[in-house]
Amino acid sequence: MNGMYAGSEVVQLLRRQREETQEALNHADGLVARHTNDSAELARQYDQARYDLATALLPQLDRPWLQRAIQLTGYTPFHHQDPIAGRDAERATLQAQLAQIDADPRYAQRELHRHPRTGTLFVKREELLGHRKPWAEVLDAAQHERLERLLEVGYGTDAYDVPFWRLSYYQDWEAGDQILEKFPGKSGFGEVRDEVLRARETVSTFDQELDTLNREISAGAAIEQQRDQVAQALASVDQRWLDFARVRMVEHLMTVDPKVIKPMLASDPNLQLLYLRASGMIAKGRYLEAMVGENAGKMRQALPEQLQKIDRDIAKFSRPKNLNAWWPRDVIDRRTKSRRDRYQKQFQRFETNYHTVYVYDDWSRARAYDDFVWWYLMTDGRVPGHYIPEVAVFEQHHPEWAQGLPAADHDDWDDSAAAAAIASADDDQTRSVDAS
Amino acid sequence: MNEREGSQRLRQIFEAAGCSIVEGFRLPLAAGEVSLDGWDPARRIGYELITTEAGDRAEFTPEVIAELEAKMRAAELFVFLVDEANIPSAGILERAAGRFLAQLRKQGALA
Repeated sequence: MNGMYAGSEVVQLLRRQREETQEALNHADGLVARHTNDSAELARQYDQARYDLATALLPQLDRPWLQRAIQLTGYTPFHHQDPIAGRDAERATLQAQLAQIDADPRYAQRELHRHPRTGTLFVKREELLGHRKPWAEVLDAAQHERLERLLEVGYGTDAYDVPFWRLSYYQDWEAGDQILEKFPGKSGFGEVRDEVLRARETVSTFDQELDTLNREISAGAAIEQQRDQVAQALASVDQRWLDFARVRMVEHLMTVDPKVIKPMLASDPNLQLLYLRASGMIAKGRYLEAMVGENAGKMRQALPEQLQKIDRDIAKFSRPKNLNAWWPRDVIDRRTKSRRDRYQKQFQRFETNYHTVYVYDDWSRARAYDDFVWWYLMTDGRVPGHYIPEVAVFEQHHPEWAQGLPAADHDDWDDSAAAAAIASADDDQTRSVDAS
Repeated sequence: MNEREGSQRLRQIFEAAGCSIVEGFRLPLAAGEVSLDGWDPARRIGYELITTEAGDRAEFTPEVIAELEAKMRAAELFVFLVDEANIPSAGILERAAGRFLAQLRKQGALA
């Protein structure tokens, strides 16, 4: 029928639309997954950039280098929380602890007392264990669930007064005989009883001595362990304080507005470039996250709802009365219009823009502007970034940038020097930090 | 073993030794009348499982036990007292009861 669709045709059109929507959702999921991988790689690159910047800013922790770093970064807290003084104080404390431990006889005579084979404490312990052994064997042989009772009621002695009409009398008798069998040389349980009581006292005396010895051995081991820890702390004190100072300064650099920091570092162009690289990389991470959220992320929220709606429509048009009815073609065409091209364009645009930001590495470009956001430099101002808070704020203060990237404020930078600085840092990635 | 099984086994052992057992015999004592699990009124020989299970611990007070034991020391009567917290295995119970009865024979209290 002209101008009309049968219900079954409508269902077919809806199914096609569902496939397109599902494809788009899968595509959006794929983009998010790829971004997760990219983020890990960016994080690694950013760590390297921070390390390069920190190493160039403060190659070693001494007064001239620290003064220079404070001057360049404006990080004044180190004027009153002096990391050099902190390091020297910790070193002095650790050295004093080490000297105290070294003078402690438990440590000084550790070989004499605690050598595993010849140490006096170990030798004495072996002797004690040797003397204890035969007495412990007596106790082992006498082990019986009724032994304690037999000792308690004086079985085998004149004090035993359990009468023969009690069951316990016979159980004592049986248990006594069983224990006695383990002592072939004894003629009665009374002798076993004396032997067991003597063994208990002797083992207890040895155990007290062994306990004292074991405590001495443990205390000696603990002091050796403590010395290892102090020595380790002393060996790493320079590096730890250097790392501490670097981390604090780089954190400061990364949290202050680049337009403030960039001119402060102008006197050291290489350092300035390393700073711009780290600053640009952290901005890149924020931008890509925002781009994914704005595009693929929003699609991942919206498309499942669309799928549900299409499913409801498919169910509705599949009912027998609708399946055999006729539906106006213009209405159904509007309702089932293909969205594939629209989705593809949206994805292509997103992927192009994402790629542009992801591969950006022209860090020296920021030198040409007194005030900037990396977004404009990375995209040449050709990609709307109003959904990124820092871009939106910047555009409020610099409406002229919204028309496109303006002319540079300065054009006097030698790009070959910039490239050399980055290359130098890259070559130096595996260099260990000078801890002297 | 539970009290019932233990009591049945003891009855068999005592009867095999020549006793005529009456179960639940009421024995009057100065400290109070008590019910014995097994008792031969003629020979004045019996047995009692003093267990929590049957509530015997309330009846067999320390005073009752003391009076019974005094009578046993005076050879007026003999009651095999199963005084352990738990009734032992059948083997242990049989051996102990057998030795008790042998002792009575030795003393002339049982033919």
